[in-house]
Amino acid sequence: MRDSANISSGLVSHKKLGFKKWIKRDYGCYLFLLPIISGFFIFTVYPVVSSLFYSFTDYNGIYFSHVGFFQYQKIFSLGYGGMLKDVAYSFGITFLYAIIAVPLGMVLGYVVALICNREVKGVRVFRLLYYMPTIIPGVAMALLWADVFSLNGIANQFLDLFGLHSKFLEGEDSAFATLLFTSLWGIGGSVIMWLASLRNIPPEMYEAADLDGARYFTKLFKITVPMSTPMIFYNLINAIIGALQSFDTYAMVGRGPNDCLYFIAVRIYETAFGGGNQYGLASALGWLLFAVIAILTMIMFFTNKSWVNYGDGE
Amino acid sequence: MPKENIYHNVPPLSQEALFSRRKKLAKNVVLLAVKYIVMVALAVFLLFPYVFMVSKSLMGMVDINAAKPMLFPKSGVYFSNYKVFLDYWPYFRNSLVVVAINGVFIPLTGFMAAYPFARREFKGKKIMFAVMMSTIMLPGAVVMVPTYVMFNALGLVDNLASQWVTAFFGGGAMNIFLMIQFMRALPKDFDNAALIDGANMVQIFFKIMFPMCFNVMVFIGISTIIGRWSDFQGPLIYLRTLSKMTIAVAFYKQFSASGASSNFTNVRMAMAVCMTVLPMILFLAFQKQMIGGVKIGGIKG
Repeated sequence: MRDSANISSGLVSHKKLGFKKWIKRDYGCYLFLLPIISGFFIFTVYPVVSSLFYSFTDYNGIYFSHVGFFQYQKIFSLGYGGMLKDVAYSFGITFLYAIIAVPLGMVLGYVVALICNREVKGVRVFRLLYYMPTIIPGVAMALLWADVFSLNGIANQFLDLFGLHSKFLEGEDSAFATLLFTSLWGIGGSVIMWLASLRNIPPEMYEAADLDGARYFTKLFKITVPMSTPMIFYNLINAIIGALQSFDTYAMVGRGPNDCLYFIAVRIYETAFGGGNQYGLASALGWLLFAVIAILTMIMFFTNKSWVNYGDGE
Repeated sequence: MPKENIYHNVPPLSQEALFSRRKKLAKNVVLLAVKYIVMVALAVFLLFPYVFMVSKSLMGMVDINAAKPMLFPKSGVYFSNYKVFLDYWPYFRNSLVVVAINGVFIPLTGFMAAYPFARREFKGKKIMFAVMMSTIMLPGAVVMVPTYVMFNALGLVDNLASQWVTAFFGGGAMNIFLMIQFMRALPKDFDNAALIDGANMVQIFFKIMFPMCFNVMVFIGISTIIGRWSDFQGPLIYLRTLSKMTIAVAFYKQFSASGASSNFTNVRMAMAVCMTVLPMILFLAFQKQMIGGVKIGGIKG
């Protein structure tokens, strides 16, 4: 392996390399990386630095008059002009949504994958059908759900059969639950992933367990679930980070009735582009979101060793 | 030794054993039937929104404005609702431009970046890889405002170019990571043989890596197209004039403005169905790569 690596790059040692030789050897690689390196500086480094700067100013797109910590003070203060209550609510509701919707989707996807996994013909067709709803544009889904869950819509007609009625997306106490319910239509992707991960479990493990007379649920919790943990972990991080930044709900519910679904990504968007041009404040909120995501990622990375099975050599 | 041999020399079963085996078989059949029922029920549940959308798009005004909403058209089927597509054609065209450029160049530039990381050694590889991966953690909300300010200064606001210009500069750390993972798994012998034959890096890239990675690139291209087709935050921020908007945001503007058109739910549903046609066709045409890609994407690196 080592030899082949040396041939393919033509290098002998990493350290004893003059500048000329280094450029002569590596320039090809850097040329290939040129688009992404320039893109990194233009679309990541520059915006990150200026965003950090904006967050300490009252920049509105044209000028700024103050520099200081006042945006953060505003976010964290409760008094006059303070936003702590509103911001905390946005973070809270976003976090609540992520922490319910993501595991719910993953667990349901896992159960569905377990059902379709073995000895069932036509899995491919079902897999396809389950994935279909996830590729319908969010805006189209928004219109559809608005219609289905309207006061006089088909969902209420169904509830009428049981003598019930709900305001669904238009009611302050039902909008969140309705939104969670609509997120169920996104499980198709997780079903496909789980099916793939279940196939990767070596069948010998089950054969050994069968010889020992293990029952279905023993095998499920002693083999299947532990063997899936690397994927559970990886997907959990990704999906939660994604859900914390979710803007998809904006088309369907906006801020929600009485601002009850004012997710943090929506708040940042509205702060910056909703009319006030509060670029400084929006940047500060963006950094706050970054801090939350970074902390979550760290926690998950540092605690995963206790409950994630990476198998040998990881 | 093939496994079957173990079972070939099994002594004939006793009456009791045969009975218990039959019982087990019957149990399996019931289990299978239950599985199918659950799977079909789930498919009906998940496909309901789409079926309802199509059904409503074919209803006439009488059915739409009936006191009680209905699942299927009662007073005739109206394909004429789909004429609305012609009104929306300019926005479709805008969207097609955006997804075509992104769908080709995001996989291509991403592939270019992934190749040295996966197959070559060069100075600074480790640190560059770490920096690239760390950008995954960065929320879009952090860079949103300065990017807008920058695009504004460059005259890209209210310009369709704002939706595709980034495709030429990378292509997303997640996509690149996916390609790196895939390329690392390919045998190095191909590259080495080509090197010995005197091929250079560009030739190896196009003649060897490109064909081998084609499916991954198709996956990334198609999922980029599907994602950009439905993307609505980007165009919402950058596009102002209605005539320059992409289909998703034009559609959103039309139906969120409600007002008079709110009575024409059937026509709007027809439009929604039109929007789903492109993703559906692409997904069905490339389902092998799509399902394969979702699998690779989900398996941790």
